[in-house]
Parts: sequence; structure tokens; C-alpha cells
Amino acid sequence: MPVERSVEAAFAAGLLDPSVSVPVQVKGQTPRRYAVYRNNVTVGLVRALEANFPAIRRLLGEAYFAGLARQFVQDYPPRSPLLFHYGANFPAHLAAQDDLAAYPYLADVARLEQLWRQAYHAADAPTLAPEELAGLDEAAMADLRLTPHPAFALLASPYAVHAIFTANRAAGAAVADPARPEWVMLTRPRFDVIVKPIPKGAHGFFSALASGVTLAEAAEQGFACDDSFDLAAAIRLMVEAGAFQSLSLRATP
Amino acid sequence: MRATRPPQAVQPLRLPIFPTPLKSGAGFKPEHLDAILADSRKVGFFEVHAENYMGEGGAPLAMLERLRADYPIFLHGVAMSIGGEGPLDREHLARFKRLVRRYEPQVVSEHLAWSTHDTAFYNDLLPVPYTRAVLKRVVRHIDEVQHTLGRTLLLENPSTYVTFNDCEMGEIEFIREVARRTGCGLLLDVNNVFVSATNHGFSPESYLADFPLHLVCEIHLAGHATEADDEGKPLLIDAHDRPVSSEVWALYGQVIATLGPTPTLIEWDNDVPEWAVLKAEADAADAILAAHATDAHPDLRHAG
Amino acid sequence: MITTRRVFSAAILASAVTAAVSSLSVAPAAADDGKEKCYGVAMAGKNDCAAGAGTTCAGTSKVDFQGNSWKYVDKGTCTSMMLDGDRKGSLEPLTRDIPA
Repeated sequence: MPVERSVEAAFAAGLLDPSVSVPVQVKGQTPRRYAVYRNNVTVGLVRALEANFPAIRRLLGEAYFAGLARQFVQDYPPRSPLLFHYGANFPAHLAAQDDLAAYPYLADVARLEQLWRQAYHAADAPTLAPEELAGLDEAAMADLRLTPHPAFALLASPYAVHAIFTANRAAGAAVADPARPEWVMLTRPRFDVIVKPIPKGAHGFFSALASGVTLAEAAEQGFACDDSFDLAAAIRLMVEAGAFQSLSLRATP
Repeated sequence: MRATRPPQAVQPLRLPIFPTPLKSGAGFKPEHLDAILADSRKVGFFEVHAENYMGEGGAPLAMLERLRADYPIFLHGVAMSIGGEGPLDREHLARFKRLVRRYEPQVVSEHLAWSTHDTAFYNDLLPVPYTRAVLKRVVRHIDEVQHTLGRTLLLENPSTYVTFNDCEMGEIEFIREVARRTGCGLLLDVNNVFVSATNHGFSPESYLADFPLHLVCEIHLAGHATEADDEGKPLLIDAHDRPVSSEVWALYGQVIATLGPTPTLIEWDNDVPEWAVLKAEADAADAILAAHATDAHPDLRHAG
Repeated sequence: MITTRRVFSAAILASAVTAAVSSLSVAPAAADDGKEKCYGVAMAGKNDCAAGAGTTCAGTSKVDFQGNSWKYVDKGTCTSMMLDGDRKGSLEPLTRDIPA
């Protein structure tokens, strides 16, 4: 025989599951009264997902999103009271929906929304100043490594994830051709998150740099991704957007 | 007043120290920041939910820092799950402590409720049964919070929609005993009193007459919604989505007549109006506070 | 053992860095714009300063109906994107972010 459940366990069991009856410990076993808590919890968490994934909400429509979100909060209630991080596995949940198979870009749009919030709440840090790079000896260049800014993130997608994200965070127009690849960089030099589509080669270059390899190795990676990789343009882009916070000169990581 | 004295100086203070604001304040909403900074008439203080400032950096923290330069900040936790059967989340407590260090809030408060069970956070203030066993764990949790933060905590009375079969004491007896054993102060939410009284059919006046007002360092006011229960009787929801009701204003007037001026927060968390509307509610509270400015009952003004 | 091919000489790297840095005529992105936006009037109505979901200490009067019929409801802009090709407005907001 299982141990008798605590009041709290019995109360919690039905909060997200409408098929569970009112806990016996509740005086009078009043369904409408217990339902206030169920409703508070469900509506509150569905609203949290709406706030966290506004582009997905617009793409799916309010009613469809609410239904999907209700299912998600029942299956995956938050594990942290930091609700602005809630829904880390919502993109995967979207990808797993058979009904949404015709919209394969949704998961990556949701990933971009998740990355946006992570960037928004990331730690404050200075960004690499152009003078720091300008002042380097030519001989030091080969061993140059960069430390990414805490808000820096990259996303590569086979879909036009930036165009769809941008159009649906505000009331923008529909994106005509979602099935084209895009590479996206997120930075937050001070308070505003910058979401920028970048060339494929720059994505490979930044990705390598952020992993801690030298500038030379990262440049090689950029060309490996894309023959037309423009190293000077990519360096300019990263400094302008505040992708990195500091540099170091060491032969090995 | 115990709970509202400036924090212990563990590090050099670089933030302004304000006296206890015997005025009304408002729940801070980031969308109001421009209007607040442009407003020449200041409210007494702003209160924020601690959890919404537990990110690593960025605009939320910068906005709070800006606000803290001009106003006393009251830090109101909504997710400590003090009434929960599990142990407190130490990581969460550590984050809370970082906020207390960083912003030196005038007041730190939490709820007599639980919101986490096992690993799930429900984002609602869920009710506790008033038993000796629950009393023991609430006391243990408040001791831990106060010890970790190095601050006196104010505990807020809940609004509830159900009661439990196996209660061993009433809500006030429970709260009084928690305060006696932990030395915590109390946050009296007058709307919560009215909501619970209506939902459970007791008199809010009698509740307030029994309540240990001498421990109250802050008052909350908010609007509620009206639904119907299983028998068609009114079931009030603590919705914080409209102006304070006339019944709650009347109860508030009675409390202030007894207690004297006390920091009073207007909470408005759903369907948030523009700043002027929220400010008007705060002004209404200030009018009542001003009318009773000299009414402070000396026996009720506890010393620090 | 794999040896990294140093395709890029220090001179090539240095010239790319010089070209990049010298083309930055204005200060990089670490300006105060964000702060201004969050503290300024521009914030209202914009999502730039929306932090995502927050906690609540209030209940809700909005009733959520626990039905299971949600799978068959309207699908928002997904459908128009794929099926209609109906561009509700200009494509300008989409193209202006693409770097020159």
C-alpha cells in the first residue's frame, strides 16, 4: 500500500489535471472553489508562455496557441519561479506536434524567442572596443582569442527564422518563402537585444571564435563554411554588434 | 519599526536611505517607468516581485536601480513557498539574498502559502491547512529566510477559496503563533481579508478586531472579481485587476483609524491601467492616511 | 596528430582587422540607446523592453475552458503564410534588416 498522500500532494495532483477530483481534504469538496486554483494555475502558466513566445502565438493564432500551451503546462510545468526562462523545451514540443508538420519552421522561431529572452536577461558586461583590436601587433594576431559577451548567441536554421520572427514579434507581413536557410546572431550591448541575420561564413567564424579557438582557426572555419566569406566584414560586424567582451593572446586555450 | 529600519551596513551604503514612508505606494510595472519619472508628485514607495528581478542583468535590473535612486523599494517575494512541505529552495533563497544586498529594500515580505510541490512551480499562492505540523514547518522556513537574509520578514495573510477538514486552529491563531515564534512582522492585506471573509462566511470586522495589528508594518490593497460558488453564493477572486472596492476602503479606514499611518501598497497586476489610474488609487489611500495622521494608537506603535 | 593549417598569415589577419576597425567610423553598439529607449517615451508600445513572463500574486477572473477541441481551431498566420500567400502589408519591414 502506498503511504497516504499529504494534503499538499493531493492538492497539487489536480491543479493541472482536470480529470482528478477535488482532494478529499478540502472542506465540502467544493468543485467550483477548488477550480479557482486550477484556473489560476492554468491561465497563469498559459499566459507565461504567451508572454515568452509572442511570435509563436501570432503564428498559431490565439485559440490554437492556448490549447497547445495548456497541454504543454500540464506535461511540463515550470521547475523554476524565474518564469521568463519558462519553456526551454517548448520548441521541441512544437517540433513533435504531428498537426504542425506543415510548419516545420515553428520550432526554430520558438528557439529564437527563447534565445532573445536569454539575451535580454543575460549578465551585463562591456563589449570589445575597436581600439583594443586596433592596438594589436601584427605578430600577435595568430594567437588572438575572444571571449563572447554573456548575451551573445547564434542560431542556424534551414528556415527564414529571422524574417518570420521579425514579422511576428510585431504585426508584420507574412513571409513568402519560409523554406530558405538563415543564420542569426543575437547580441545585447546594453539593454536592447539585437537580432541580426548574418552570412553563413560569419556564422561559422563567430561560432568557432566563441568556442575559444584562435582568430586564425576561426577564419579558416569561416571559409570552410562559405567560399565567399568576408573576414574583414565579419570582424566589423562582431565589433559593431558587441558580440565579444574581451580578447586574450595565448597560444593554447 | 523593526521591519522597516535601514539594512545592516555589511558593506558601504551607496544607495539613499529613506525614512519609513507612512504613505501609499504602488506595485511597479516597467511600462509605467517613464510616467513615474515624469511625475512631479511622488508616491511613498514602489514594491516589486523579487522573482522578476532575478535575471543576471539587463533592463529589468537597470530599471529597478533607477527607481531605487528616487524611491524606497519594498521587495515582495511570491515564490518562496514558505508554507510548502518540501525544504526551501536554497538557490532561490540565495538569489533573493543577492537582491536584498543589491537594492537594500526598505521592507522584505512573503506569503503564507505554497507554490512549489516536488519540482513543479505553480505560479499561484496555494492554501495551507492550519495544523500544528504545518505551523512547525512555516516557522522553520521563516527562521531560515530571516537568518539567511539578515532581515526581518513580513508575512502576508492569504486570500483563500477553500478551507481544509483537519484544521487545528484558526488563521489568526496560526499567524499570531508564527509571528511569536519567529519574530517576523506582518503584512496585512485588507482585500485578502475581505475576499476570504466573503468566501468562507465570516465577518471581516471581527477578523480585523482579532488580528495582531501591533505587528503590522505594511498594508496591501487591491481589487477583486466576483464569481459564484457551487451553491450560487458569491465567490470572490483576488484578481488585482480593478480599483479597490468600497467595502475594502471602509475596512482600510477602520484599520488605519486603529493603527495610525502605515505604508500602504496598491496592487494592480492584471489589466494594468495607465499610471494616472494607479496613482489615483494611491492618492485615495493617502487621503485616508492623512485623515488619521494623528490617530496613531501609542500602544500599537511597536518599538524597534 | 592533426595540425591546424595556418592558412591565414598574421599579415592577412592584421589587414582584415585594420580594415574592419577603420571602417567603424562611429562608436560601436555599446552606446546608451538601449537605456534611453527603456527609460524614454519610445518604450511605450514597443516590445524592446518586454522581459517575457513574470510571476503573479493574484488570481485571475479569466476562465480557461478545459475543452479538448483546440486541435481544430484557427491556425493564425501559419496558414496564410503557407496557403494563401496573402501578404498582409509590405515586405519592407522584413527586408530592411538584411545587411547591405
